[in-house]
Amino acid sequence: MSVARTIFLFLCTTLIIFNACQLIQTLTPDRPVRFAGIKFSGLENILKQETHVGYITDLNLKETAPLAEYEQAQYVLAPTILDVNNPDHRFLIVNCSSDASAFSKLKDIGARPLTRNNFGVILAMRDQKISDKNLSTNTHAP
Amino acid sequence: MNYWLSLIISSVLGFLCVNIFRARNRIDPALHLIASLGLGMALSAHIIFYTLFTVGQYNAGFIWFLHAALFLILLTASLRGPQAKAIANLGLLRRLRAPHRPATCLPWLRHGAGQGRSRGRRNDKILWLGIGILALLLVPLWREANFYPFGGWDAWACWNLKSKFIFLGQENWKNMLDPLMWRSNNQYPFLLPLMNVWGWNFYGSFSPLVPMFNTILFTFLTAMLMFVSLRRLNGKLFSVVPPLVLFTIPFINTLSISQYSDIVLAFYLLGSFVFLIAAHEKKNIALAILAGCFCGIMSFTKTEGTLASVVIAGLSVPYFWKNKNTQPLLGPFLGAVAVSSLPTVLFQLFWAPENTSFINGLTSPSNPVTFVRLKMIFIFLCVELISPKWTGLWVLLMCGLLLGKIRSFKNGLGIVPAFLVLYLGCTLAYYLINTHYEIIWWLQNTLNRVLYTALPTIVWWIFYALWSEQKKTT
Repeated sequence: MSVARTIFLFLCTTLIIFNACQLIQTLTPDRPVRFAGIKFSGLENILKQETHVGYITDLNLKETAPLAEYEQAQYVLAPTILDVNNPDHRFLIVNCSSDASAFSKLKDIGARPLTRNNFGVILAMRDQKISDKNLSTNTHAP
Repeated sequence: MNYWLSLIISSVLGFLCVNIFRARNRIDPALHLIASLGLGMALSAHIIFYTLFTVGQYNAGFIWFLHAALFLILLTASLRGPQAKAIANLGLLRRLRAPHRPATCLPWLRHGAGQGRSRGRRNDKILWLGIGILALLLVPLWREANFYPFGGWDAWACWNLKSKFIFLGQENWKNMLDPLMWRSNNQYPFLLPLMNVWGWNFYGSFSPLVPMFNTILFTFLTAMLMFVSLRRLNGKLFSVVPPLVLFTIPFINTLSISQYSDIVLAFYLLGSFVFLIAAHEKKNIALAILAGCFCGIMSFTKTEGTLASVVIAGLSVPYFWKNKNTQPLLGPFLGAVAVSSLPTVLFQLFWAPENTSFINGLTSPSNPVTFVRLKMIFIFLCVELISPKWTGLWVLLMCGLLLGKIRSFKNGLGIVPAFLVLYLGCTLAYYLINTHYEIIWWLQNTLNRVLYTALPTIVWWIFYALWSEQKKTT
């Protein structure tokens, strides 16, 4: 029994050495930190008084990359909630596949762009008439 | 430094709390330290939860007040009772006199009091050597963590997101429970987010370092708990093998620094069994209370933790009841479970939103349970266990189980396999019944993490069975 136990310990030690070698190999190369949420950083200062903001996109959120982008945007802008493709909010974040598509969506919604960052993310505002009814429910700021 | 301050405060609270439990019975001092950290972190998180519950929002002043009040209560209780002697024996004076001798700095870390001086020194050496070896694990953890400062998917989509809502949301923090937030698993309890908020409390901002440190801390605590609890059996350096077997696997390393709640759940699950089995073996009420606390705390980590907690509490009844000597432990254990799972109960009663990602396949005509789904689950489970990402660990564990033979299922250890069968059975049944998700996608993304949370307990159980038999034969 003790021989079997020794063999078992030997196998465990072999596995540890094998895994440790693998671990060292995976750690050696430097890798860039990737975080798509960086596309949305800076907006949190403008939107910090808003509890809900529309997140307008023409990308398919069932696919991994657009969904990751949305989730990371949500993380960066929390505690503001990003309401996917719901234009009934005072502020809208437009993250589309192209500028043409983004501006076409803004035209349909009746919102005007306020700013656009280097990553192509547009912050837009709804026309006052439409957004007035949402102000009381969507914000806690006067 | 700020993070360490939060750790020190939490561990002092935890230490005093464990000290009260051990009024009547001794606890291995190294286990005492690990339990103090685990319990202290959960106490701080619970204090923030009760602040949210009573004040309605995160309030740093009130959190400080509750910490100070709890500290004074615990200190008074410690100084008045038989624990006073234990506090007096902390060895701080000795540390000042002989700082170059770590063994004498913390004499209460020794393996068992009243042992011979030479044996005590040998055990000290093994302990410090083991800690040193396990500390090496921190290097790959820290290095890997720096490549993922924001953690994995669920870190920014769920756990850290909730932390930000609580920390920055003021009275609107409950928006994280809004149905619009269904993608963030808003029906999950949130122990880890509260621990992150406790760390941020010292930074004054949401530093990404805190979630990173927290997951590294819990990984290290899990490894230490495995080592220290197995060292009790044989007193040899072999006890570092089980945590090393586990935490040198690159996949485990990556999951551990992903800032998920899984490592927190894994730690409290392991702690529940370590203390439960030790309590059963030694008829020790202090350990039974500690096991109950860990079990209750676990229920607030995530939904799987709640399930695990319920299963353990249910199994503890026959476990303690069938032996007359252990019957008195059942009350303290269940009492501790009830007290420490109060945040889970309050959350489920008052705040938990409806689970929108659930379709009952047994009653749904559009998404019914099929035989193919059942077949897929079992095939996937078998394929998962031999997947190269585990580097043969499951095969090795199977060998260990065969070596341990009947011992792994008998006496005090029988509760672990009973738990594993019930826990994994319930999880697989949920995979089968909830037809909201495509089964392959769901299994690919979550099954490995369910196994990961149970792995420290499984590894510990198998090694414990092997070495407890060795102890018996020698």
